[in-house]
Formats: sequence, C-alpha cells, structure tokens
Amino acid sequence: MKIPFLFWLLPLILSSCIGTSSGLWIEANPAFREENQQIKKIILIDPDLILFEDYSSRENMILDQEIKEGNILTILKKNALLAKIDLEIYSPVSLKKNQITYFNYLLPLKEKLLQANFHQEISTKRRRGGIISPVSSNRVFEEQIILDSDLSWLKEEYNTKYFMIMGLIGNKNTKVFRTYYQNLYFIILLDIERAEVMYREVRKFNAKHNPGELNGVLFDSFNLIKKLK
Amino acid sequence: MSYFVRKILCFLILSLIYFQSISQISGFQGKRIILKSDVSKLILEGGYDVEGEFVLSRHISLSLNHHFSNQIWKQSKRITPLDSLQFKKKMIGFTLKKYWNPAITAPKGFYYSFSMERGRMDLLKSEIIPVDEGNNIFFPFRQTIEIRQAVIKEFSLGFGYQWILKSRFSLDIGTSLDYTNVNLGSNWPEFRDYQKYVAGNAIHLDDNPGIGILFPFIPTLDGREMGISIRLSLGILLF
Repeated sequence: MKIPFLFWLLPLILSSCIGTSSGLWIEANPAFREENQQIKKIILIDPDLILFEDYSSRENMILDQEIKEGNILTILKKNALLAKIDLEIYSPVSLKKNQITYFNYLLPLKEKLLQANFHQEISTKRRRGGIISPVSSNRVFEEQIILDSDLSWLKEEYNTKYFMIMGLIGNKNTKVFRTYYQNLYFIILLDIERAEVMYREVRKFNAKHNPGELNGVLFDSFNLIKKLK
Repeated sequence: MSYFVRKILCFLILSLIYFQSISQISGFQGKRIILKSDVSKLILEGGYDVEGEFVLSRHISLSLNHHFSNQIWKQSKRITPLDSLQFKKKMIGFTLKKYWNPAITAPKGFYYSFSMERGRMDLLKSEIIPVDEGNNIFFPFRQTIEIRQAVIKEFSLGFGYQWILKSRFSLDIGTSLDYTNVNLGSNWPEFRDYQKYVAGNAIHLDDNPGIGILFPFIPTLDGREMGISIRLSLGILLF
C-alpha cells in the first residue's frame, strides 16, 4: 500500500522543488509580431554576464570570469546564427571598430534603455501552483516603452534597426549535499527607427554555466524573437 | 495495416498540424527528433526496443515505439522444473510527454507522461524430453506442447527527466505506473504464474494487498497486471 502512495506523491514533491525557481515572462509590441520574421541582424550592446561562483582566490575568479564570458559570447553568436540572426556583439572585450560610436552613443543608449525599463518592470503574475502562463498567450506591453528618437541615424551606421541589451546573472550555491545553480536571463530589443522597445524577455532557470545547459535556453530565446506570433 | 497503427498515425498527423499552427517550436537548438532505445527493457526482457520522439510544441512531445522480446521462463509452481514457457512479444505504441519547466523547452527537463501500447504475443509451452534413455545417452529435446496467441494492451502514467548531453545525445530516466491487459481468448490457469513477467515491470503490484483498496475498479483477474516500470533510455538527437 505504501508504494502507490509514494509514487503519486513523488512528482508533486519534485515539481514543487523545481517549479519555485523557473519561469518565462515575455512582452512584445503588437507590431513586432508582424515584422519579427524579417529580422536578420541585431546589434548586442555590452552584454552583462555576471556569474557568482565559489573561488579559492581573486585571481582565479577574474580569470574564470573572463573565460566564461568569452565562452558565453561564442554560445550566443552560435545560437543566434542557428535561429538565422546575425548577432554583432559590441562590448569592451570584443571591440575592434566604431569605438567612438560605441562610447558616445551605444553605451548611453544602453543606459537609457535600462532606465526606461526600470520604471516599468515586467509583469510576473503567476497562476495557481506557481505555473507561469505559457508563451503562446497573447502578451503585450501594458504600457509601451518609448525612447528619444534622436538616435535613429544609428540604423544607417550599423545597417540594422534592431539593438538589444541582455544579461545573464548566475549564482552557484554549494550546500552540504547539493549544488544549486540559479540563473536570471533577460533581453530587451529596441527598434531604433521607431525608438520603441519591441520585445522583452525575462527567464529564470536552473542550469550549470556550460554550453550543454545554456545552448537550449539561448537558442529558444533567439527562436522566439524570430518566430513569436 | 492494423486499425491501431492507423489510429496512431492519424493522431500523430493531426497533432503535428495542430501544434505547429499554435506555437513556436524550438526543440533543442532546433533539433526536434530523437531516436532512442530503452536500455531497461533490453535488460529486463531482452530483444530490441526502438523509439522515435518528436517534439510537437514548446512543452509537448510524442514518441512512437516498437519493442520485440523473446523470453523463456522455467520456474513455476504448476509446471515441472523441466518445463518452460516462451513469450514472443511484439509491441507498438505511443507516449505523450508534457515537459514541465516553463523556461526550458522540450525535449529537455522534467516531464509527466502518458503512454499506450498494444501488441501480439505468442506463448509456447514446452517440455524437455530426454530421449534414448535405454542406451544411457541423454539427449534433451524440447518439444512444444501448446501454442497460444494473446493480445496485450498497456496503459501507463509516469514521470521522468531527460538530459541532453553534448547537444547531441539524450538520457531519459523515468518511472511509470503500468496497467497491462493480456487477452488469451480463453481461460488458461497455468498462465497466472507467468503473467507478471509479460508486462516487464520492475515492481509487481498484484502481490500487494493495498492495490485492491487504491484501485478497486481493476479486479485482480487472470491476464491483468499492475506494476511500476522504470525507463532508462539512451538516444541521439537527429534533426
């Protein structure tokens, strides 16, 4: 009699453990759902990659952070390419050209975008049982995020009107019996011509910071940019 | 083509059309088809097992599987130790999986599953006859004394976790509560001792007195078996 009872209790216990720290929240401009299939190139401005882990020394931490950051940038590019998006990354690590534009215009643009988003936090309403509403639901911005249109000339400079900022904040906690990985990932996509935020995504998930674990998540993110209906 | 196979194909085609139209399918890096084999079935029952898992939507996948096993059981209370019963089982079925994690898409992560299987089984009851006893030469000869055909139906509800390794391979570990119905056509008392081996379950719940209280709608009769099975599948992501 004990076996069937345990059998049905086990998934409930497991789902409650896994479910509390996972979620996907998406908001998109209605116009974005019509034109997203034509997106071919995106400029990614200074991605924020912060991975907290246990390190024996500060030197190890800095070195490891740099290696991991480089790896994640490679994974990002690879997955964007699989979703048929040409992702150009502009960050201090990979900067080769357009340095003046980067420091004078792209970084202030990132700051503006973050500020505008800070004033309108993403809606993270939960349904019963902690289960998040599915992506297929028709989510739109409650209030459209609009920026100044004085940077629309960047479209000609970079040959695309889509500019993006992203962040991956990962935390590793080691307890007596288990290691927990908690990650927060976000992207904000801006149409520089309209000066409107077109798409915003926040994702919470548990995964190690290695290519095998991140590939699925990052590909899904770019795939949604391209195919969201 | 049997009626059951046609039903499965119709279900698959309709599901593909329906799910493609309503959602954005990511798969794992765009790969949506996995070719798998259940290692636990190979260990417990032998034979071979092939399964194809198709990702239908962000969180739902459908698997089609075929399993063949050929087992010989010798231990029995009613049949003498020299006698044996051989099962040749051919099964075909489908499994529907609902992946739970909203941030990670199918086919990776924790899932609940429902599966249905149907198949045919040949039962060969045989006895070993020593010949040439007069000349003190033992030459054991197995003689089939009874052949029966049976139809098997299996339903199961379960859960598990699927890992994707190196973006190319899959490892699926799960468990499920199985109900197996073996239709022999007519009564065959000897089969009662063997029926628990037919289902290939790791734990047989028929021996457990509590099962009658929890599942009163399923009478414990000949040809009906409940148990808990385990799944350990290894696969490769095709495209």
